[in-house]
Amino acid sequence: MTQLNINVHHVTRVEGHSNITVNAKDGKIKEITWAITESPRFFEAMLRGLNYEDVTWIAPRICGICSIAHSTASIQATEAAFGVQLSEQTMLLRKLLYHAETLQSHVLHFYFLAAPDFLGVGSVFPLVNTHKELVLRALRLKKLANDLADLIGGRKTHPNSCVVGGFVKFPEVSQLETMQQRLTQAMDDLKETVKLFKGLEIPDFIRETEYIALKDPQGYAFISGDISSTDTGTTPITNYLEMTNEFCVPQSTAKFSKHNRDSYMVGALARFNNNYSQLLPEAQKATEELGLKALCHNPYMITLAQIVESIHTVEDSLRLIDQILARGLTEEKPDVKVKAGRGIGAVEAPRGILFHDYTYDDNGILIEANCVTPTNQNHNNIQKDMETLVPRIINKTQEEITQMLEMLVRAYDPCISCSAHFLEVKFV
Amino acid sequence: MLNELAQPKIIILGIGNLLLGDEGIGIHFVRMLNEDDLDYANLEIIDGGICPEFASFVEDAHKLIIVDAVKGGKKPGTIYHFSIDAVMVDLPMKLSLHQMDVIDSLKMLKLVGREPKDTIIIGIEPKNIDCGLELSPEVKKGLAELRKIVIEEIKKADS
Repeated sequence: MTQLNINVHHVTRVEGHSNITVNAKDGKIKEITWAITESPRFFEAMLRGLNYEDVTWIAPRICGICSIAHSTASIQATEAAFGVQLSEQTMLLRKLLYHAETLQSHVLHFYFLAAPDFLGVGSVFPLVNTHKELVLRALRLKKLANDLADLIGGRKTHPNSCVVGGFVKFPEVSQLETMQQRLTQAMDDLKETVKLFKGLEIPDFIRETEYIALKDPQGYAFISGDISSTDTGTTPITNYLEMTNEFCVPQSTAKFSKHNRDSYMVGALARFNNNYSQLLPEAQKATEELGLKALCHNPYMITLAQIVESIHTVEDSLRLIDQILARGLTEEKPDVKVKAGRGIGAVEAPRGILFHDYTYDDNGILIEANCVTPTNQNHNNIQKDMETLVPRIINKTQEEITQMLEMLVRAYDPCISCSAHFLEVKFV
Repeated sequence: MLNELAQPKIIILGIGNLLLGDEGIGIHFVRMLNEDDLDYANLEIIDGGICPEFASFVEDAHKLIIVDAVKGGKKPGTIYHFSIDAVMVDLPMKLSLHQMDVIDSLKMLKLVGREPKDTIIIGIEPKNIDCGLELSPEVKKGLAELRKIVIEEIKKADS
């Protein structure tokens, strides 16, 4: 290897714009950078001055893929600020709605964005000719997840029936029963997905890091619990700033994060590494078939963790619908009393832990907001992975190295459009 | 079966980001249309927001009308009205920020034989796509004309 000059502008099959740069001469690496180039969006500034009800409608617009995550984190931050108590029914419906998004997003990632890499094609389109059943399966699963989001959240994307304190629209019993049948049928499609991916070659790359995710003794956590680190144990979500430690780097418009080590990972693999023992039985079986064992330190396995989680979300959705049907649905009215205060909402978005932190005045007007996205927290881990990976594969061809780096980035399933935001700077 | 629930015949799909000024025109438009209480049995109005994948929203539709901000290089507020076929073939103009998502979703449906029979795009040239919840006066002014064109398209498809 005499010279290496990799410049990937706008990595494809990730959401948003990002660049990879690697420069090496005579086997010596001069530069490796992972940079986010998308223009920043001032969400926090936009939320300031809004009434809490408007905040609920604006927050899901931050991202089209994880709008339910932003909606839920936002609602939970407001509820924490006002001290709103939730009913058991609200929590069951909220968990069910949340599973719809995890499934929507994971299916999009492992079939449309990651599978082409493993099957050696440039996009999902050529697969229509060679693997038509795969494409139809992906569309079926995506439609199921969209319809579940629609049934509980009122829309396929950007939900409008979940509000601070509860829901304003409720599904019919017959609709829930039909959905239950469809979810049961979907398990076959997910088992086929496991069969497909267990036969694919996953790059062998290990770099130990810290994994951060929500943890709840009640079950595999998505919208409740404390923050858990595989290095340092659990801490309440109110301490999130001590975990995220956002900082700016010259190459990127998005912030980077670190905690106990020089970087940490969030997302499906971080959740798996923290909470694997709480996966439901079919999901447990899938981990065995896919060879996924905690603690797993191979970032390319994130895609497999997403498949396992998809099975878990379908299993848990079936359980949740059983519970809702057994207890019966009542048209509860949200009970919200506005008061001044600060509240933090933390959820596991498909790409990892997401925080919304709001402060309200006496009238329920938002006066301060902070939003820390999972992709921002992963940027630093992607950078450190690249710094470790490139020296190990430096003798491969430039094309092979580029492919492995792009696959690495895609494994993290980054959602860059919502991860880019600037620091607010005051000049004195 | 891919299509467990019957799809309506005519779909109006508004696309855009409400947080980026004129980029949210498609969403402002479908909100306005929802208030009209249009009386067509087979009409579905969808707020697609910034969802990256629309395939299962619109598969098998008889007619799909996409309403979006369209960057065609003309004066802000200019209204565009064209068939998706033109864009599918050679991408003659740059659509909105999420153009590839729409095109990719439709391409995917075409490949599996589930594409809408007829897809048209109706849009407005944006003035301002920076952060903000408001439409520019130029684009706001175009909403009524946009509505007229969309209603005509619905009537055509419904007849």
